[in-house]
Amino acid sequence: MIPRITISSDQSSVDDVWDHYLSIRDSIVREFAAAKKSLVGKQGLQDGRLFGMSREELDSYFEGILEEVDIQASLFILAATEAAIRVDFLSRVYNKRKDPVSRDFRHIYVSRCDHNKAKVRFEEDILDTWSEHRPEIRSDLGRLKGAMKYRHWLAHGRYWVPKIGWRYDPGGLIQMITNLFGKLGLAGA
Amino acid sequence: MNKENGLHAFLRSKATASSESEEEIDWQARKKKWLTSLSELYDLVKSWLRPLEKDGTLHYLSTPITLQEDYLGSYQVEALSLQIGKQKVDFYPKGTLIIAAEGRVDVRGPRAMRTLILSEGQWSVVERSPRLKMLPFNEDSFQDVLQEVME
Repeated sequence: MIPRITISSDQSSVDDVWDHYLSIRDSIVREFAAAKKSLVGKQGLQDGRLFGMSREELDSYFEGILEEVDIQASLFILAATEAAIRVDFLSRVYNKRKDPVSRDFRHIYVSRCDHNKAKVRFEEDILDTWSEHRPEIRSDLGRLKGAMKYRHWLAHGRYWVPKIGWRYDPGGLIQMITNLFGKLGLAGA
Repeated sequence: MNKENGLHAFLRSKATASSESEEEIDWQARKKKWLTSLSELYDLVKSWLRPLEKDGTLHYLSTPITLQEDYLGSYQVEALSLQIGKQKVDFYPKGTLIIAAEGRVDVRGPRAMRTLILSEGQWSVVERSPRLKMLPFNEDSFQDVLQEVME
């Protein structure tokens, strides 16, 4: 009997992350608008950190916050993407689906079992298997692999200068992932 | 209603709502008050330092700088510098459109920068650590500021 991973109920879908991101971004924009009113001294200031800031400093401060929120959302979107694809992988394995992709996945899963744990590699084992079976979406999968380099850089604290060659943002990632999930027949994008 | 008219109507309703919700501010009066307060700040500092100016310990230098602010446009103010030996301390006006205040001047020395805030017609020194607080700007707090910004 192959070992099984218990799927967590804490998993966030890509949709959840996107909704959360929009809520936070809108809250920041509203706070920015309220802070701008404090520039003319008419409204009470809620956030003491902003006290004494000029308009330029305020703009720069909120630009920095919005940029950071974009970066954090990108990290969580890519993490949720990996989770969705991995859960689909496990579902195909555990449910013993008979399609060619699922058969290959089961074979990979069994081969990766070691000491009652399955160490399945996301890109080499899952994405590359999809590429082999679905050559028409190889470029979409390649784009996701490129984005995963960005995720790796974010998840490890951005301490080196990345050779990413592409600027990622939450909106662009969502578009890319929705498109890919549609082609893979995955829900949750 | 066609699309273009809908767009126009939407923006007209927003323009009316904005002008109704915002109280009219006399920006020229605000600018005048800010410039007067700035001049008073410089006079105050110079009054504390008069004996040192007389005996040549320090010199003043005024430099015109241009501020650009919403509602006020572009205008000139004076930045005041104190030359004390080889060190220079600059009073650098930031403007009157300042969060929860009526004006701000940064005091920049070779070691640090401190902020003076104009609020309800009074100048104060801003301290942010450990918590935000305002100290009245007087001869004692001015000495503290200089000790912090100078080497």
